[in-house]
Amino acid sequence: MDRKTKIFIFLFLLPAVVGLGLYAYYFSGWNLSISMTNARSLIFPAEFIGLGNYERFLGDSVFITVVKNTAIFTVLFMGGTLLLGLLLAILIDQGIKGEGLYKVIILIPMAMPMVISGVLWSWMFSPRMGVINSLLRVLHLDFLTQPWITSTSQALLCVIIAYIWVFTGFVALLYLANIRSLPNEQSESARVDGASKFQLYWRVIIPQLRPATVMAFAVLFLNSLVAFDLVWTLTMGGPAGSSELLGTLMYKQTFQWNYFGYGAAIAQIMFIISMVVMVPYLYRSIRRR
Amino acid sequence: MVIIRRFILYFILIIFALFMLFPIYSMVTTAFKTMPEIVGSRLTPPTQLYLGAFKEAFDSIGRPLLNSVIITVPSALIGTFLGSITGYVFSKFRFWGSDALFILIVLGMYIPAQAVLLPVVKFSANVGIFNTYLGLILPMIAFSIPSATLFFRNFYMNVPTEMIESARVDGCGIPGIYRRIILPLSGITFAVSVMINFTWIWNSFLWGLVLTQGPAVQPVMVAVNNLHGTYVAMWNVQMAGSLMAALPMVVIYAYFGKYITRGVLAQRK
Repeated sequence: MDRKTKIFIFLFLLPAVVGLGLYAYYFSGWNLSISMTNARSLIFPAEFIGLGNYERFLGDSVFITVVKNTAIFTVLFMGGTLLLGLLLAILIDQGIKGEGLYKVIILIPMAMPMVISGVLWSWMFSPRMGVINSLLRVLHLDFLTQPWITSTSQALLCVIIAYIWVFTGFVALLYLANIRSLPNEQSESARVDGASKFQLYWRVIIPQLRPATVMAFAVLFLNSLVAFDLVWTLTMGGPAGSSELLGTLMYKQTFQWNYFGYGAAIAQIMFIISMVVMVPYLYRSIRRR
Repeated sequence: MVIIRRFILYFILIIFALFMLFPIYSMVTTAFKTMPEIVGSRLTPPTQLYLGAFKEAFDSIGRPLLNSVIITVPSALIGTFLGSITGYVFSKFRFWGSDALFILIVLGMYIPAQAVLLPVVKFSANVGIFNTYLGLILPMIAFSIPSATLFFRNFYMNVPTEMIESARVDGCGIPGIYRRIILPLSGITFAVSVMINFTWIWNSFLWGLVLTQGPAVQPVMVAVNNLHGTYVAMWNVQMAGSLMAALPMVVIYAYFGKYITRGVLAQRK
């Protein structure tokens, strides 16, 4: 490689290296250092308190709530979306009329900005005027009306339903693409052997859907880890912390109550979880290419 | 038997479609209703096209809509361009540490926004770009680079190396090769990458929430959230505002729908 080439490589990489070096790496390092202080202001210097904020978080009563909410949210949202997405993909794969249009329809929720999905679902779930309760009343199913987002026992469920709404069509299309890319021979021979449709999917096709599952898992996991926009517009983590997740708690602690060090520690925990899960995924997907 | 099966199949598919479309239907119909009409019925379509809610919502989100355009367009374009030159280098050159550097750049898209938010606010305040367009454009560009780099690198890997070699023999330098060969080949890829970046930047909320104060620079998603907070019982205003803020996505989606799926794979912050 000659000198000129080296110089141009350097120049071509410079903006990316500087931009990400600053905004991604320098700042996440800075965040780590803030997380070890008791900072409560942007101006005044703070004291170094080591892992004090992390200890405080582990002992905080909200910790149990957030862990519980995150566990319920992640399992139900990811499980629900993967199952419904897979079901939908298999149904579409049966050869339906208007497949193109149908694919467009199920992808619409994904095209909506998350903030707007949050506003939409708060309209759906509003207990007095809201659309779902109105629908139930019109159908004379008044006994089924619920307090939805105003209830501490249902708010998290509302967030989960909205999230499933956003991602199901997208996951279905991932699975559908995977199903369509499978070689025909195995399905053919299974059919010749007299396998029923159910057996065909259960034994032959579903076991080969690992690529779509891994990809969907990565996208859904990352989205549930950093969940904020939709949760904020739908419930703000409430009522009474009943739908509090890491993202909403971090925002409140940092930007509403000015516990900068504490908020930074929560953000740092999100960073670590993301890296632990995503680095192996990234490594695998790059190596395979 | 077959007919019953088909019937059940279409029945379930229609249920799914209703689930997906119902909130959208409700947004569009509610936006065109007067409040008394909404109190009368939430489910029926509007009896007349009432535009008052749009006017009211526009008073609050008109300026933020413009702000979002000012922030999103340059960020999406510059982010795509930088991703393209970075991806080009990683697709055609190997040097000491190139794999590690590539992974570090792509890894940027898995850093939660929350993990850099507070330092970005501090830094922006320190250098005087807090509550300015630039203060939002810079992080948007930076966080567009990882997915765009990955996207372009995978695309350029398929550009035959012989083509580049022959150009080099003809005396083209790296910028010449990029401009004369790589760039002309990337038309649709470029457009898709711009749209992908446009989508996530337009939709992003948290950045605007912490990096702006007041409506002067505020992006539209923050304004919609505020509308949601101030017009609490005025659902027609909320829905009209949501509809206007979602409109660019509808347009992009109509043209680039199938690519958005890929974009989401690459990044959603």
